[in-house]
Amino acid sequence: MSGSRLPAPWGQRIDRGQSVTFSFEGRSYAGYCGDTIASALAANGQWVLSRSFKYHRPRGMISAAGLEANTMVHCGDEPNVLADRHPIAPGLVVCAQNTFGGIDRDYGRLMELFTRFLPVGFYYRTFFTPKIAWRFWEPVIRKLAGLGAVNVEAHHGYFDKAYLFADVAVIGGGPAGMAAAISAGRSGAEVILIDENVVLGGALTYARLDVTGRQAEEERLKLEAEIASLSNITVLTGASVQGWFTDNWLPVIQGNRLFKLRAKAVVTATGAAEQPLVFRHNDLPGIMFGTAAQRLMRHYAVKPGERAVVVVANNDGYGVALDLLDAGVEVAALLDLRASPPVDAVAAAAQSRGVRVITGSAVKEAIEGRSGRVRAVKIAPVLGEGLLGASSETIDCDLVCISVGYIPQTALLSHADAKLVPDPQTAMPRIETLPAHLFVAGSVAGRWALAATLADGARAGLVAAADAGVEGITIPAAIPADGHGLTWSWPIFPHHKGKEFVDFDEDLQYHDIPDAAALGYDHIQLLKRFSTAGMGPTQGKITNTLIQRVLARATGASPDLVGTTTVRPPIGGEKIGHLAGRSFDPIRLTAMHHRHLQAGASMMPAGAWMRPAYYGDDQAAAITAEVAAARTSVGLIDVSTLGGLDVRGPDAAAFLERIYTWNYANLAVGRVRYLLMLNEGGYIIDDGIAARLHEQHYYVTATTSGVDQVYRLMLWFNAQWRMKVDIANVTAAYAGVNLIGPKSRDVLSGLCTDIDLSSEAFPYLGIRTGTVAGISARVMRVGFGGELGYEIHVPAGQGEALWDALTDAGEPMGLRPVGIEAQRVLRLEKGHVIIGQDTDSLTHPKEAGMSWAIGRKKPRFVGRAAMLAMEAKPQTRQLVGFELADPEGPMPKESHLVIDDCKSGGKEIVGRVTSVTRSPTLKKPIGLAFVPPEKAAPGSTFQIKVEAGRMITATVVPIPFYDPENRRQEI
Amino acid sequence: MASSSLRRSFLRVPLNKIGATWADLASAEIAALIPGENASAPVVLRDLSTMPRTGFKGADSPAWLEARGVVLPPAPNLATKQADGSLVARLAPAEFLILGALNGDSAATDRLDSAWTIDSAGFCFQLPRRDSHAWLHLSGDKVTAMFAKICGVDLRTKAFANLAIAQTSVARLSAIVIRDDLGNIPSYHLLADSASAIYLWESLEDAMKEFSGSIAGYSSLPAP
Repeated sequence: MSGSRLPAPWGQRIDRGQSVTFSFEGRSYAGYCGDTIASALAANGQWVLSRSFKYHRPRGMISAAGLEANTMVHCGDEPNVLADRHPIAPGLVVCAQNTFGGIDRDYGRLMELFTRFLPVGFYYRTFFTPKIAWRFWEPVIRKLAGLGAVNVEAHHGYFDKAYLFADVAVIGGGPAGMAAAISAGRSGAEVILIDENVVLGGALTYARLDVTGRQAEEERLKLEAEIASLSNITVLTGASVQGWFTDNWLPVIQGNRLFKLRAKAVVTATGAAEQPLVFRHNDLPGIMFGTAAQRLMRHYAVKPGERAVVVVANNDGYGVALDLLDAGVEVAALLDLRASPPVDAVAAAAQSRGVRVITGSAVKEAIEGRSGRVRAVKIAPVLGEGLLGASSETIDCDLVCISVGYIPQTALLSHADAKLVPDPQTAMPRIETLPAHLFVAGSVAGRWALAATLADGARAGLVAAADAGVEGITIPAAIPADGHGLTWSWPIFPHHKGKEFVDFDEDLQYHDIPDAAALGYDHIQLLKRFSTAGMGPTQGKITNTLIQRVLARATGASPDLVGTTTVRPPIGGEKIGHLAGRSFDPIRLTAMHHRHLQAGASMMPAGAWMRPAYYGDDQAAAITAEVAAARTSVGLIDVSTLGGLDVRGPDAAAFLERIYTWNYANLAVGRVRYLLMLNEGGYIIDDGIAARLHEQHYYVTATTSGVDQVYRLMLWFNAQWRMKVDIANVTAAYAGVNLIGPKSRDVLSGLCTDIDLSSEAFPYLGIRTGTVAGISARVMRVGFGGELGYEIHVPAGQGEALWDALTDAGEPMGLRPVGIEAQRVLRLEKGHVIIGQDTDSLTHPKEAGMSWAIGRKKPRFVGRAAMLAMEAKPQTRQLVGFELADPEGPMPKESHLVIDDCKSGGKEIVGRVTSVTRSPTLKKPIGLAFVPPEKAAPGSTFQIKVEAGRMITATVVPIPFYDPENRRQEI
Repeated sequence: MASSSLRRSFLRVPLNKIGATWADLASAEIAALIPGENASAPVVLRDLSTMPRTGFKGADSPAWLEARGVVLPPAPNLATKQADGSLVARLAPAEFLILGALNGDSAATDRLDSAWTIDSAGFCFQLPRRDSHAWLHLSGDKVTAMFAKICGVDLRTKAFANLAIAQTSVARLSAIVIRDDLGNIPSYHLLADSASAIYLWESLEDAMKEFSGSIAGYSSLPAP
């Protein structure tokens, strides 16, 4: 077994006392609690984790830090899980993605044989000519493309969101971030320190800073202890900041929770990743960053190989070699790209332990072993920038550690529109400007040595705390940058046989970039889209700088002129569940809601409200019975959802005159009048009633779905008119019922003793206040069903008690609860219009047959001028009542079209049905429809196109259909 | 009690489901005891929806209330405790919410309600706050952490002073949040649309689960 466990103290993050069994590709593996999927597999000798996107080449870890798509696996129900970040768990089922035949024998690798036929952008050039070819290729490409498969049967997970607040947010828990958090915390600021790893420390958890290898951990423990001692520092580990948004708004994902963090000041201490080295077959498993090998050893006690070649361009790589030696890995050679590298204590220690150092040398080609893992490398002297000599030696190895420089993790800074420019002195970006309240520290800011990093972090913490408003802080002098000599400026060695990858996600080879540029895609943004460089799952986190450099060379421009592609959030993968969070969808229930349920109601939504549609299992029978109860005995309707507005004040009457179309100043106290509301375009938007309770008090109703708009408009208009009127939306404060039917007075009289209910004392369209069943009530004689009826409004907290009392009192008289469906029938039988159903957003009163609700003598009301202008034009449609010529024939449905002969021949749409029902009272189909004005006279006929394209004939009839003299409602 | 015309809680059904014992208080039913309640849990949720409260708004409201001995908060979004235990919350320069004393004494709100008439109060208008809004009470050491899951305002005690008011969105519902500590226990009044009370209640139950929150009855409310 190539990978095996190292003894303690290697393996800080695993608990050797807790074995965990999981499966990968159907085989069972054992790891330890604390292992990632990738570390546990590596410990079992499984280094190949995936197959590459295009050529299906074997791939393994490069960073061991979740920076490359190579480690994406399918885990349980979830695709695209990063195996080097995701912990193992008992019974976890893990599968490789993007394979044809499995991870070990992927016949998709045959694609590699056709490499020469798959040039950069091949699919743009190949599959669209002739155009019909795409029909053939599309399903093929859809099958081949993409990563992972979504399990549409997966159960819903629980995700939620939470807000966080801080004076200072420190992003990155490495030495700089820890130092920043400590200094800001010591100053008194409230600090949140965020790190994506499970343990604070960053590079201190794995890097070798000294000969003994102890300094990093000692320093980490000191910092950790100090953070723990400061109660004003909150630490979020295992948490990733996905972006930076205006005003320091930071989305932070931790587990299944998305935190929405708002900080007064932010310190970005996101550190750096290593940069890849480009050579032939640089993608083979076993070729990884030096820091990846260190992470595997220090975090998980995984021995990364048996025989290693270490390739370096800085002295950090010598520390890697020392670690490998300590772990029992044979270091076959250390290739230093530098001709004359400086020798520090660590480098000297490596050499003193017999490491063969070959300066001015690099890997020219890696050779694949039978398992897919690297088995040897051919090395060659570095002759110049990107130029190697002839291969001088082949060295057997199963591990190649790359330490040739760094890529500062500047994505968050890019989100914040910081100005970053390539610095030829360091071969890394330099920050030129930062937005207000955003600060940087540590290696991302160009401070690399531990002392400099700690000092820079401490300073940044103080600067941020001061920026956040902490007073009395003295800011120390800035720390000089020290990034020179760490990063090799041209870590790219093209090979004439290719397969030297500059983008692992998308299988892009070196020559793809100049080839794309030669085709005219020589701008970084065009190149990205044509070649897909940086468009893979990792968005080019560790490869974009390579692309930038290669394009610069191909075009002869400097890297700063080439620029970079736009870096956008999110930085890492995030799930739809994170964005959705726990859903919050308020539902409004009336005070009588549970009584409806007890009565067997089928509930239906009406805006945010739930309303009873009908009571009972048989919908048709229920509606018929409910209509019959209202027509012949008594029904009880919950109308609590209707909007209620108290309009009060000296100008209340004048205000309503302006808002609504009719007259309200002359409405007597104790009387009720219909009201109709237009928008400023003259179109109908709502209706209701106004009940005058006092000279200065109108109780106004609005439609269930319209009341919020009406309330907003009232406030909006009065903000301009400044009338002496107060408007209160009291919809939720009142429960309302409509007691409808010839026996309604009998029911009510038993419960209401302080209101004279006689028709003389309390006529139709009257309002009285009193008590019903001992509950203070507003009682109105109104209704849309055309029967004797009372609308009773009581405090919501007593609505259920009112319902109970009326139900009990009405039981001997056959009282039934009546739902919305029956109400719609009742109102249609009376020919009443429902705003929004029988009108649309362009309906004016005249065409809706509602001119009677217009105060023509009023000088103004909202929408008047526009309404008059429309009325002056030839009318195009009219809402009419209709019956069907064949009562037993097919029924139209709402929105079925009215069809007429076209003057130019053929047929044309001239209207539509807005409401229709088979009236249980009248025993025939009735409805409302828009028709051309010339067909609006009673007796006219028109054609309706119903289902299956059949045409039926309807006849215009006067409305109301039921009780046209309106006698029943006024008895 | 089902046939009584007493004011009923908007949360009667969910409280009945967990076995609430009801008591009469201020002409209304109130959930007095909840089986297994833990009044010292990190988050404690109580329903005070049937407790007395009222409201007034309009330009003459400050003067009208002051004339009746009400001590007004100096600025909007502040609340002031009254000597009788009631709490006056100033929602706007001329809009006030008055929560009755937590001992259920309705004298303060009754006195104001009965004094108000449209003819005598000028441009001051009574509002039916006892019915327009549900009144929930949340307390405990973790209550602000729980709020952070459903409310975007920083309600932590260090950022949100005692007797401060936030008129904001809680679980996507317009709400009034008033901090009113019970001794050392962080405590908040939460008032929101009464028709959405059950939705809000369920949202709160869900949010406080991770903090081992407990639903408690009125009787365990600590003395102010």
